[in-house]
Amino acid sequence: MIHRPSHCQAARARLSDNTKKGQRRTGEEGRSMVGPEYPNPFTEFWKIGDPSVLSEQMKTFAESFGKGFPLPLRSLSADNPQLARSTQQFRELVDSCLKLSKEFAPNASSSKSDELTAELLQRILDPREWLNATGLVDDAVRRLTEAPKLSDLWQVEGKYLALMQAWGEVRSLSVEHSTLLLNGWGKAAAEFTSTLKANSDKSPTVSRRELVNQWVETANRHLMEVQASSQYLETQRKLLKASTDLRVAQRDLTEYYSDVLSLPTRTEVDDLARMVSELRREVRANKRDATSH
Amino acid sequence: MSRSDADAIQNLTEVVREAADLSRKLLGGAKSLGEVSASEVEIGTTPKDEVWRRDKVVLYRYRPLVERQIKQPLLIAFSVVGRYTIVDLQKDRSIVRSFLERGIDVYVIDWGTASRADRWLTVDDYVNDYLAGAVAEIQARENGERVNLLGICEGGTFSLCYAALHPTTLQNLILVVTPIDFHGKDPDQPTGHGFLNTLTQNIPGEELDRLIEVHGNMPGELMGQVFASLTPMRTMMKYNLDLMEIAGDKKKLGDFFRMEKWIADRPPHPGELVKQWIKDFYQGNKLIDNTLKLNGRLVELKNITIPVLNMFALGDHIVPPAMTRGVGDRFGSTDYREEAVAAGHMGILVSGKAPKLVGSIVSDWLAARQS
Repeated sequence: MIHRPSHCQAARARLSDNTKKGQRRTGEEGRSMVGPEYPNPFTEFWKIGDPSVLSEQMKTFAESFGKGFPLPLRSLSADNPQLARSTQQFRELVDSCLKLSKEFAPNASSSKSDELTAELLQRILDPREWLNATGLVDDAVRRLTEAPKLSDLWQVEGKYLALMQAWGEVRSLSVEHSTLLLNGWGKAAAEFTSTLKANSDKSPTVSRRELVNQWVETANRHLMEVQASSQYLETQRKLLKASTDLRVAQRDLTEYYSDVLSLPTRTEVDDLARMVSELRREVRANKRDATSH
Repeated sequence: MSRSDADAIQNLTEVVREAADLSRKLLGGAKSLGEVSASEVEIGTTPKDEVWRRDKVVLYRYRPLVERQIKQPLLIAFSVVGRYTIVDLQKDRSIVRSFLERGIDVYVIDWGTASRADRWLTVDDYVNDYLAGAVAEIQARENGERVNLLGICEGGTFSLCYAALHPTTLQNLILVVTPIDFHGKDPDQPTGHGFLNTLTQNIPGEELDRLIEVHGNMPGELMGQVFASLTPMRTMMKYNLDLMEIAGDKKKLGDFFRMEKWIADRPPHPGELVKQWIKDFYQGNKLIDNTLKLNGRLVELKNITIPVLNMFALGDHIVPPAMTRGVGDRFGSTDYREEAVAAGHMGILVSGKAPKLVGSIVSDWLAARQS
């Protein structure tokens, strides 16, 4: 949980206010700048926010992150002159681009009465549109420093849920499968005890070895019958499928994190191995052809 | 003394005798178990030399024990599912030694341990690259002499495919417990025999694909569990009651541990190979139907015109006799012989007198077909 200092709250209040002003500015006839308005607060935040807000956010993030990871996060600390310089330069550039766009947008329209064209031109000449379109404000960077976008929410949670469901399925089928086996054992035990009773009447002395052999023969026969049954084959097939599904869910989750951390995934390595196998096959086939000719 | 008293005393005597016998076994067993060291549990110890290698596959040549009696060398190709070392488990349970003692020059192919990077290897790679490469190497070392090929289990099926596609490189073909007709079933075969067929035919193709996609290869542990489940009670008894019975006998204990060492060493089965093995062979039965294609070439058993010796085990629960016998008419060869051995699937190689029996049958058969 990142602590939000009071000056952050103040900056957010100003941002919210300006966004509302923006909506009022373009909405004389009830039209507002939808779509591009969403990413605009980000650039607005950079532009108009108190310069210390960003560095405070970074500092707080670095402090909390640094507790878990002994990484040099000095570059994210508030007293980073390079970051402060870059931020200032960026803010000044955004300012001048906005000023420029405001100057030529009205003149680009051929007719002052063509409001639709004017609005469109204002949008496409707005440098904030450019930033969004070219992805300068990188989604990945944003995810690290801000709350995730709506579309990011529940992605990894969904994968965890799928994993838990797959695990539950395996447990459930495992119990079903074991129940079948246990039924077979029960039948074997019942037959064994009744055979023992019948034999004890005829011959009271039964050696340990004879007892064991009798049990092994009975249990083996019943187990074989269970294994050959259609119910057993069905639960075994389902259990195997469920365990595969569990592995798929595990892999899905691990590859998600691998992707975020820019690590190679199992799928990618398999792909590479496939390329090598096919290439090797081709080279050897060519060699054999060359030798035979 | 009444009769019932006499009976009671006899029962008690029997019980005491059994208890004493059990105690003796337990004590002897504890002593033997404490004395067995890792160095005593070695397998595949007959001296051999590496003569060729391709990727993870290695070809070994065993050092001769006596003067050569059979002109053409013998190449043994075991299954990919287990280690080749079963053919040389220990000195008195080694078909390799059995062959060497009869003057046969023996080579063996070690398929190696597949890693995830090998998941794309297919039957074609094993037959037309590795096995073909090994045969070519032997021929080069033997001045172009043809090779006698002995395939065991899955290795036997590979050998059949190889023989059908490269008939001019071989002198004779020997198959041992080799599945040929994967749908072959004897209605009178014992319960549980051929259960592996039932299991493999129970997996839908898309589920198999997904299983392999996730695991890459078929894990050795899973294969081990599948094989153990084919004889469930035997598996349950092995490490307690059976072990207790033999623990006092150091020789039997050593035999037990060497067998267990081989069983425990189960390499992964390359993923694409497993898919083909199950879909094309176990489910599709394409080999016996002459519809199997490797690298675009049709594998036709009628192209095998060299002599064929087909040995199978009567007590084989993994490859029941119905999967391997009665197929002579499928070959183009006029010299086809079947030989049944009273043993189990691996027992034909390692149990009792079977190794020596196999050795003598094979060497006599080869001796008559050297020209």
